[in-house]
Amino acid sequence: MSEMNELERARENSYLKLREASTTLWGEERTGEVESTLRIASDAIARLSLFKFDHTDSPGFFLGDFGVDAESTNMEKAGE
Amino acid sequence: MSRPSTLTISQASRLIASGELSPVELVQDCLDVIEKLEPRLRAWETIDRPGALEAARVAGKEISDGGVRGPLHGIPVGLKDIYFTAGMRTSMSSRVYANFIPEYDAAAVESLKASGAIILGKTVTTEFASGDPSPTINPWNKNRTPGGSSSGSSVAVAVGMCPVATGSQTAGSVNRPAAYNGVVGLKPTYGRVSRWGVFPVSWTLDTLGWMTREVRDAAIMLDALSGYDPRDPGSANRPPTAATLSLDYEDPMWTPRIGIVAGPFADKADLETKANLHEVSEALVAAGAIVDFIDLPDSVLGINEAQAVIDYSECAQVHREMHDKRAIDFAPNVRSRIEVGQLIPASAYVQAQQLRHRFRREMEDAIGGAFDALLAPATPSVAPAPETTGSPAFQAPWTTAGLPALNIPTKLNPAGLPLGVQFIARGFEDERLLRVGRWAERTLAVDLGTPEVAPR
Repeated sequence: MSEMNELERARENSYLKLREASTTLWGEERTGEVESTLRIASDAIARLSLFKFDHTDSPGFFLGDFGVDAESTNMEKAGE
Repeated sequence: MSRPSTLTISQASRLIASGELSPVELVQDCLDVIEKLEPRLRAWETIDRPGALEAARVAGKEISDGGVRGPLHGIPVGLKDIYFTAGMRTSMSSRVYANFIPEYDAAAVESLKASGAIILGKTVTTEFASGDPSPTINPWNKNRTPGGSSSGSSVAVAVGMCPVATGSQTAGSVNRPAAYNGVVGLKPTYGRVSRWGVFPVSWTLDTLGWMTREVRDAAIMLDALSGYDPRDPGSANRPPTAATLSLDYEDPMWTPRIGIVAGPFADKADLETKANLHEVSEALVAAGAIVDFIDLPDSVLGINEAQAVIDYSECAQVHREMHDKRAIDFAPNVRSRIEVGQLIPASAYVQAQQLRHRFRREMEDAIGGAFDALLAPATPSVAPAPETTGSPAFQAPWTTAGLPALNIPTKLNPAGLPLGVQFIARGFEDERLLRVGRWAERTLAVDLGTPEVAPR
């Protein structure tokens, strides 16, 4: 239950921030027109914010190793 | 002999090699099907009749002179209209690039031409391979979506306009339309096939793939298109595959170990889809497959969200300059993505990349040495109404993780709409994936036939 509340709060916060940024950049009218896309993005940002990451969680592909096979990725975690 | 346009690549290639069929006869028959059905289905942006027939004549001469290049020699191919083709219009099915003619071929087009394939033309994509529905019609039922973004390619293969057509997948754009149209779809491992010269949606997600009528044909394409290309920064330094050989020399007694995807992910499927998966798994077990259930790691619960954040952010940067000049010329969905993508915080983008890396690692471990491949429903339901391109929820996790995935059709539902399943393997185990798919295809012995296209 508390996890759901946390997600709901994160979604609302994320939406309000993204909506404000949209209004500043694209204006009130256009923000209304992109509402459904705004919701998808803000929900996604909220969901991601609930995952715990630390310094060992390197980003994937272009920001880290890409085109790498399983053996290499396992080695990366071997020092933990 | 069957009508040439109904043949698979493997069948046509054998007949061409033996002199029983000429590339010109094959190409002409495909062009005849296109001429008859294109007004109803709208699968093509550009059809190069004279160029295709001339290339077929040249291929026929080369082959009869003893210069067979391989199984694609003389085979007609459709190219999704985001693959650059020198001298041939490449519009991205957009108004913005409606008259764009590239000066060079995409790497994949170079490889196809080098293999002797005949370029029939360019197939319709949703605008910029994004989410706005295309005008293409689902041949099984005109009131259902053909899917997207590779809608024209899937429809073209389903009705016999060509035995193979290319696509690309950023979320679910190869295997979802393949499933909705009842054809085989292969999305190889990220990095297997060069994307150089293919207009991007998202640099770190885009993966090229294709639709065919059987699994062996998908292997033929992989062998022709895979390999390292330094011009694509996402290209893996791996040699080309030998997938076709691996299929042809498979131990006939071999049976695969298959993990059936269970838990909240699979629960998104409707009852009909779940029943289909159950039937398929029973048939595979009866034929000797070793099957167990597998729960996906918790990271799957955010993986489609990670895909959306990466997709929107990168899409915004791909189109930013053109959007500044011509925003109103973009279709509504892609325009919204460009505008919202510019608002996404950098921290969210990095979190999304972190999660995809974690998911990839956890999936590699989960499949590990226990399974040759995973089995999952192809889509949450059969093709829905054409106001959307359908849900990519069942493809996006594998795309985001860069894992190879293969769709195979399994049956028609009582309303005559295709149902399918997909197999997923570890990264760079594309050949193993194709072996499992080929074994399942033989075991299920499915032949959906060619859809009877209703008059408009």
